[in-house]
Amino acid sequence: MTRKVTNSLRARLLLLLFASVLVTACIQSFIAYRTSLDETNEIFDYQMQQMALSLRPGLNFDGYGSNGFRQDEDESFEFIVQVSAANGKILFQSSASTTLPHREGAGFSLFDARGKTYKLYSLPHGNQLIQVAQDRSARRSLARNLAFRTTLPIMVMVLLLLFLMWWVVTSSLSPVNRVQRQIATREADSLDEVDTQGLPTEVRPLVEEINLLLRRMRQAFAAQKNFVADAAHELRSPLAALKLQVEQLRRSSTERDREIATQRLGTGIDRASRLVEQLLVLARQQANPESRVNTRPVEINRLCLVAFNDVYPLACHKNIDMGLSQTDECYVLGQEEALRILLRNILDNSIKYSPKGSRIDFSVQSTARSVTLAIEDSGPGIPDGDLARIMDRFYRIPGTQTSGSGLGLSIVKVIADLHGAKVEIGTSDTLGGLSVRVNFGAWRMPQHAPDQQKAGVET
Amino acid sequence: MRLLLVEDDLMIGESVLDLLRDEGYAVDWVKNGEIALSVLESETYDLILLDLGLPLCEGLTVLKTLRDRKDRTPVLVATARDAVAQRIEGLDTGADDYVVKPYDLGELLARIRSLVRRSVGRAEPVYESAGVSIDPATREVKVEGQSVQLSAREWAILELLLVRPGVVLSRKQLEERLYSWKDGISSNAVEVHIHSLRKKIGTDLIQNVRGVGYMIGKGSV
Repeated sequence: MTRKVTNSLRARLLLLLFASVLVTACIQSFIAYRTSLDETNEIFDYQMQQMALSLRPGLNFDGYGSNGFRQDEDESFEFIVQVSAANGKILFQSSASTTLPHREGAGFSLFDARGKTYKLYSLPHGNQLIQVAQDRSARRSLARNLAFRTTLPIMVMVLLLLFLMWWVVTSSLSPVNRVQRQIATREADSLDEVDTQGLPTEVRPLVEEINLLLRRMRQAFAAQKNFVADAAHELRSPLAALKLQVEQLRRSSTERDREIATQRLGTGIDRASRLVEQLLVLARQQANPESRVNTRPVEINRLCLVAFNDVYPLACHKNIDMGLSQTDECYVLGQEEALRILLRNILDNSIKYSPKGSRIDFSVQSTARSVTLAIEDSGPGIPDGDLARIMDRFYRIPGTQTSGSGLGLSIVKVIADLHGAKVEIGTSDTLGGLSVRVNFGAWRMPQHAPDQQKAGVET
Repeated sequence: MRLLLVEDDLMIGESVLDLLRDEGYAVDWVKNGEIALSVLESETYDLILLDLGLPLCEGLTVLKTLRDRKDRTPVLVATARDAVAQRIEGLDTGADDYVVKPYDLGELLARIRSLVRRSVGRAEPVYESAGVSIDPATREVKVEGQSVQLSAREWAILELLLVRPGVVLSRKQLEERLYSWKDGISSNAVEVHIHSLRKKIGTDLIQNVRGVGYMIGKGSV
C-alpha cells in the first residue's frame, strides 16, 4: 500500500502539498494567535493606563460617607479602581471586597486576592495614588477569544486551498490518465501509437519514446510476419517438388524412368537439406547473443585460404578460372566459425551464379585500418533494380534458373553486421560481373603481444 | 486435353510436366508470367495450372489480365502461400480452384478433371453419348457395356469429342488440343488416330463432317 501511494504521482503530489499547506497554516495560525494575544494585552494595559490617567484631575472627596460605591454589590466587575492618599488611606474604592495593595512605584505589577491573580497599574499623582487592577484570567480569556478569532479565516482558507489543490493536481494529471486509459483499453496485440495531443511537455517525450518503441516493434513484427510467410513458401516448394518426385518414382515403369526419377529425387532432397541448413545458420547467427561478446582475433587471410580450398573443386567442376589475387596477412576481431560461414557463402554464391568457363577473382586486402574481402566475377552480375533487395531473405533475382535458397547473401549480411562489417555489392570494374566487398575494421596486435594472445586463448 | 503449366520452380515444373503427360494431357510449360500471357494470346488451353509466386509478372496479374481479356479458360492456382486472405484474393481475381503446395498428385488430377468437366457445362463425372461411355478418372472406355483398350492419343481424341457431343471439331482444333509444343505433328496424325479409334469402338460413332471435321452424335446412333 505504501509503495502504491509513493509511486502514484498524484497521490504523492497531493500528500506533500496537503502536508505543506497544513504545516504552513499551523505556523501561520500560531503566529497570528501570538501576535493578537500580545496586542490585546497591550490594548488592555493601555486601557488601564488611560483609566488611571483619566482619574488624575482628582476626586473631590469630602469624607468617608460619600463613598457610595462601597456596597456589597457586583463583585464581578473586571476592573477595580482605587484612589488612596499618601498615607495609605483609601479615598475611593470601586470594589467593596477587594482592597488593592498600596504600591508606591508607578507601573504594572501583580497581586493575588480572593484566589485570583490581578494585574495592577499604579499611578502616583500629587499626594494621591491612583490604582487600576484587572482580573488576569478574565483578561486572558478575552485576549484568547480575540486571538482565536483572527485564526478562523486561516482555517477556512486552508480548506479552500486544499480543495483547489486537489482540483489543480487532478486536472493537470488528467492527460496522463487519458494516456493510461488509452493504453489499458487497447487490444492486447495492438501496436498503434498513443495520441500525444494535449499532453504536458514533461510527459510528451516519454509518450513519444514509447511511440517510437511501438513503431520499431511494429516494424519488427511485420518483418517477422514476412519472414514466416516467405519461409512457409520457401519450405513448401522443395517439399512439393519432393512429393511429386516420389510420385514420379512410384509411377515409373521402365528402368530408365526410374533412374531419372531417382536422380531428380536426389536433387530434390539436396535442395531441401541445403535450405534447412541455410535457415538454421541464419537463425543461429541472428539468435546468438554471445556472438557479439565472444570474439577473438581471427587470422582472416588463413581462413580465406581454407575456404578457397573448400570450394575450389566446385569451381573446377564448372570450368571456372578461380584465383586468389592478393592475400595480405591480417586479423579481424570476431568469431572464426561465423566468418568461415560468411566466406563460404560468398564464394558459393559466386560460383553458383557464374556461368561455365567464367572467371572469379578473390582477394584479401589489408590497410592500416581496414580489411577488405573482395570477390569479383565475370558472370551476369546483378541488375541495378535488384541490388537493393539482394540481401533480403529469400530474395532471388526474378527468372533465375539456378536453384538456390535465396538466403546466402542474407547470411553474409547478418554475420557482417555482427562483426560491424559493411557489405558492398555492385558491378566489378575489372571483370564486369558481380563484385562483393566486405569491409572489416582491422585488428592490430597490441604492444604486449604474447600476453594478449594468451589471454585471447584463455577466454 | 491441353494444359498450360505456369511454374517457375524447375524441379516442380519438371515433375508436374512429366506426370501430367503420363496422364495423357498435352502440356506446355512456361516459367514466367510474361511468357504465359503472350502464349495465352495465341493459344487455347483447356486449363491453366498457375503458380502465384512468379518472376517478371505475378501470378495474380496474369490471372487478372487473362480475365480482363474475357478469357474463360479454367485456372487452377497452385501455390505455397496458404494464407486465407491470399486464397480469397486469388479466387476473387478469377481463379476457379486452389491447391496448396505440397499437394497430392491424385488431388491435383481430380481437381483438373473437375474443372475441365465444369468448363464444358457438365457435372456428371462419366461422359456418355451414343452408347459410348468414358470415365476420365479411371480412363475406362465402354462401348455398349464392353471395355475397350485405347492408346493415349486415341483416348484423348475420344475424350475431346465426347465432352461436347454434337459439336464438330476441325482437324486443326483437335491438333491444338492434342499436342504440346514438344510434339512434332505429322500431317495426317489425327486421321491415323481416328482411323484406329474407329476400328476399336465402331465406325459409325465418329462422324466425319466433310470439309469441317469430326463429331460424335448427341443421341443414340
